[in-house]
Amino acid sequence: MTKFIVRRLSWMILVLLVVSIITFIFMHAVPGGPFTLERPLPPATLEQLQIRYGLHLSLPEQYINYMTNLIVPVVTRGRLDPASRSDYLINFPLPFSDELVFRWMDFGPSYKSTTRTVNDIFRENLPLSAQLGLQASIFAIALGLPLGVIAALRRNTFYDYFGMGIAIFGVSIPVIISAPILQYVIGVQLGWLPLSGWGKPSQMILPVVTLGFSQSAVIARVTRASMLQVLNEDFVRTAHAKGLRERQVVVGHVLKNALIPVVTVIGPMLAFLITGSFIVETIFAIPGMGRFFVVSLFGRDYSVIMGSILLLATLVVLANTLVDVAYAWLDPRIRYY
Amino acid sequence: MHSKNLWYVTLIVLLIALTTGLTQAQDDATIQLSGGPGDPQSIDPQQGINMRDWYLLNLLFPGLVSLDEESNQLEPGFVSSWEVSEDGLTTTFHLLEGIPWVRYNAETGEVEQVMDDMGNPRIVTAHDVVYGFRRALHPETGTFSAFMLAPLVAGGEAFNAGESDGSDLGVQAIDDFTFSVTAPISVGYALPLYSLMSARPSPAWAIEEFGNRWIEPENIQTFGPYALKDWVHEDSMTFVRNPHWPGSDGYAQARAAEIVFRFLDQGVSLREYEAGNLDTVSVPTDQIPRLKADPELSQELTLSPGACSFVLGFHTNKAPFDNVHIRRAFSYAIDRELFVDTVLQGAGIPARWITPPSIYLAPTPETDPDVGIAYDPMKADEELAAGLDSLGLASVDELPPITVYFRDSENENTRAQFFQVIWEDELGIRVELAPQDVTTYWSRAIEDAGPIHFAGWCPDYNDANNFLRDQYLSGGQYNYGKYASAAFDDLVNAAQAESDADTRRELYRQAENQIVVDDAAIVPISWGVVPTLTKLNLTRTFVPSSLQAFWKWEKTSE
Repeated sequence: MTKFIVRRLSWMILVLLVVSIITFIFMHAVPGGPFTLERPLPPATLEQLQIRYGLHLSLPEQYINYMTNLIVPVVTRGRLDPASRSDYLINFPLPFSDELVFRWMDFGPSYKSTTRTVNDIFRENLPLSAQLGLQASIFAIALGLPLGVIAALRRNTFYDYFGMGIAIFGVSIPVIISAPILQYVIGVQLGWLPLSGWGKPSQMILPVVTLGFSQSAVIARVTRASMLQVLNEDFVRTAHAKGLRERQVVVGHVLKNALIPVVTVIGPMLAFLITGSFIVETIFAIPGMGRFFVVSLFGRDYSVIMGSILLLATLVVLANTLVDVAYAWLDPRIRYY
Repeated sequence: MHSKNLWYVTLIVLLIALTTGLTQAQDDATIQLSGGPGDPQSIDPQQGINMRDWYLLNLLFPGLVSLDEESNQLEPGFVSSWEVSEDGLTTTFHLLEGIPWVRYNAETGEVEQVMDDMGNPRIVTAHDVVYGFRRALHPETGTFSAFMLAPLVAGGEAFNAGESDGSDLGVQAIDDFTFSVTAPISVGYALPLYSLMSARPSPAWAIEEFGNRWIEPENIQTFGPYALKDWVHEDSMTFVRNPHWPGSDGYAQARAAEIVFRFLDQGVSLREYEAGNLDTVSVPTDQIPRLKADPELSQELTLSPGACSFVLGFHTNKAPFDNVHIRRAFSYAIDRELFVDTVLQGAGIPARWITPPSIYLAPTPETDPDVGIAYDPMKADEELAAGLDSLGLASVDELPPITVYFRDSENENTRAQFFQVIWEDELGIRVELAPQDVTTYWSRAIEDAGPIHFAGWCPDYNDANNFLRDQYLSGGQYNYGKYASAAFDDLVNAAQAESDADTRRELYRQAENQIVVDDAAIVPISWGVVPTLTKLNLTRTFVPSSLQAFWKWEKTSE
């Protein structure tokens, strides 16, 4: 198993390298650049800005510079203040000297902010998206899994239709519709909850429910389908035959085996939820990471595009690795070599 | 089942959270506003780029002079008076003496004066103004608006292009409180330009010490009616009244104790307003019918004149728009009244020329009923026939395919579809629509604009020159349609050099006629109107440009 994980992680490096090259090529292939504005900059100013950010170099040189800043760790001398902290994502003082700081992973400046770097964005905005994403995932699983199980066990009864009705509703109503409606009804008309912002538990309910509900619908449907298949297996009949209680059969045998497709769906879902949702974050004014994925593309904010895509790719690979590990626990017949 | 327990836990958490959410109070002394989604680019005077950066930093760094929104008269900013030399080239400003540089101290909760290394309070001097001008024009600063300021400072263009070291730059601190600036040419709109955002005094010592991060709340030093209290990136910005600001005609002492700008999307802003959490918001046009129908909200709705114009541009070198008759036909065919009523839901004024009437020296519908172009189906048909005739074509079917370029947004798609229908109805010409993402659109507009492209303009400074000469002079960088007319150039150049306001107004009147009627290179569509909702307990003013005079705003308890 350890060997498997090590091998998967080394593959990840190759995947990230390929992703970074493709992203880099594509983002430079679209017209315009970070300084293409409604009012074009005079040539002299534009040239100065391009020199400042190294955009006057050839594309291969720019790529190599970017990757070097990202990969190669450095040790610097000097006090670690907020200004220098923003130059690298990882900064920690070395134990044998007061002044030496080990620093790694510079994701570069944001072209759309004069004070902040991509490192700052990761440090300050990503955690908020991760909070929202994790809470939404927990909500989605807590709601979707029981709905799917009940629907499968009570197939073609009211419970099934009701559960799947909710699921269909969740899948078909996009967040961009449901979020403003929830906001208007619960926040404006009823005044029960704050509409936007992030921090207080009361501010978290609406975005978590909105984001989690649409995902729970997916989980419920997959769970139901998978449960139905497993319920017909021979070992379920055996379990019943040897006198196990219904609850033991369902939880210990049916559900555990039925979880494999569910886990497969949840893995990547988690990666996407943690990195943030543009729509939910915009509508609920959550200063998370999701906005940057979209805004950076339209603004040609190159280093933010690279950083956010690499982040997402890393999380997707990690999540899939976790899913593979989970398979082995769910179904001991699965072996890794 | 375990998941059942999870359910209960979730429910309990929800209930607890619900009760905590109900204990929210509103503060009377704080004005709550929406500042649009996402962080501003910068509140560094020399780094700000868009209107939002500008209205935020305008609270912190007043200009030399400012324009009163009602009287359209120039008023002193942080100066007591100014005089212009007889040749019109040199302007000398006398600064208010003793304005302190301040910062917000988070520990004491007070706005306090900044001390220098010797322990003396730092005050705003002419040297700070010189520093601001120099930094704005220095090529390495990369100041976006430098190209507007540079032609009005002697030696400015060479310095900005990196061709000189700036030792001969026409800015000077005569003494600590006297600042003079010399222009290579005399123009009638120099004062507003010397008050451009990038020409604001800036604290050299703080910029040197903190680098790019000098605008963070813990580092920034300012002197205007408000000081920066807090900036939660991507979330909000809080400004607090600066008691040390002496006040001037242009920038009064602040009334509200605090102003909070939350970075909200327009849809959320409106809902937050309706929930009572924002004091005033601008409204999306599609909401206007609902708001007008609502007995309460309709009382709070204001439609105030804006400063922006919406026009269509033709590429005057691209067939068939290299033909003036075809251009006129397309322009006469558009019913601007219908456009404003349907597409804009009344939030606009049908435009007959380019410069909005709220702009200094622009023609106005009352004084100039004959200027410009308007919907005229008869003339549209005549011009189309004349155009086809001169091109030697038998019918509109022989015209080359025509594509309209615009930015891909809900607003602009609706507008484009309107024009598509109108032109098909009036002229029998079916145009293709080509929405593009915003950066692609602008990079294409600059390099190779489409045969018809959407254009709009919001002023950089309040003078008709900014709408006409800055945009459409032959070879100008915003002249996307490659419009080149000696007659137009002569008019706007003469107006630029003229100092008499009435003569300038007449020249701009003629220039407008030249570009929208005689040459029909630009199709004026509408002038902006800003729909705003304002709570009845907020007293506020409406400035046509978004550079609001927030320091005049005040909230009273009901």
